[in-house]
Amino acid sequence: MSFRLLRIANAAVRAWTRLYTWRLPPALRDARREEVESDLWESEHDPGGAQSAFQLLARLLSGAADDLGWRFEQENTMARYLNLRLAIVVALTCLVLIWIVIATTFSPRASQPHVLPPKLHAGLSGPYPAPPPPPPPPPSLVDRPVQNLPQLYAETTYDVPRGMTLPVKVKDVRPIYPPIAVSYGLEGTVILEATIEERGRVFDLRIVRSIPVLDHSAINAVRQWEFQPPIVDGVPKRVVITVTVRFGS
Amino acid sequence: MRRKPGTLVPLEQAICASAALLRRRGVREFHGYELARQVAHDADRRLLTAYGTLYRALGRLERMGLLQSRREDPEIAARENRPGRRLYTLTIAGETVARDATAVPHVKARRRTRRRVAPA
Repeated sequence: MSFRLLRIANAAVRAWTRLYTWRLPPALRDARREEVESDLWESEHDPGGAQSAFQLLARLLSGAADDLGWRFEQENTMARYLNLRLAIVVALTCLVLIWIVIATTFSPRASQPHVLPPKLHAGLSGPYPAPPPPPPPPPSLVDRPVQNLPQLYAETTYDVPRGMTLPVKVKDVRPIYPPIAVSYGLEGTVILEATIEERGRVFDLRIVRSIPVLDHSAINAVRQWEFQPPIVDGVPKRVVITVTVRFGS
Repeated sequence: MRRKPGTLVPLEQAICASAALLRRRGVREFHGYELARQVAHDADRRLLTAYGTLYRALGRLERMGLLQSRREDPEIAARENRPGRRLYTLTIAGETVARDATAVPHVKARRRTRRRVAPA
């Protein structure tokens, strides 16, 4: 009978230990369970006399509050650790979001072809480019009503270096002559260097001669052009063409 | 009432004292049950310290640096066909605490003085 009671007391101690260590990290949980298991074994094999079932249960019950206190201490430690990890993750996420916002705000638009700054030396098809004209004075809307002007376009031509075949244009877009430039009588020639890729689309645009008010209109039109794929020695290849956009008479 | 950090409750002092006693007997490393038996023997009690109380106190003493613990080699436990033990050692700081806890306080003898008599 006493042996049976002892077994019940042992089982009760083990069950209680499993209960209050439930869902703790494995290292903590296993260490505590192993320690109690060792205590039970030592008690059972104590040369000075094993503990009775009553003593086991008394040790269990009188220490139950401390067992729970120990568990709460471990949970508080885990919560502080988890809070710290959560704080680090939130801080890193905010930094990444800030970086993304800054990068997208200040990066060039990916849809447009890359436009290089104007060349500083002589261009392919003309003399040294003249300096751009000074900006016009602010308009007087009574004298120059822009909205009444008809839509005008610039004339375009394109050429290739000597010895190369001129690609055939299949899609043409005429550059709009900006009404504000028309109203001020601003005229001039914008020269661009366009790279035609193997599929016949404009891949890269470079300003050779720039007129600030008219550049944008020329670029917007030329980048929409399409050509038949340029064939060099029977193979589609990239070709660089020089485009002359003439604004005015 | 919350205790001040760094202070020891009587059980923890008793654990340190019992650990020092075991060390003087040549038992440098001891497990929880052995310590509980020693504490009960020193306090002249039959009932050992409760599981929760004992192991929580041991953990606190280890955090305070008064005890050191290590896990026993699993091969030894397997060879002896028993669960593995966690072995504790008293540190130098723990020995100092144990020594202070067991020291008998010196009581200064009170000197008898003559009562002064006011001049006539």
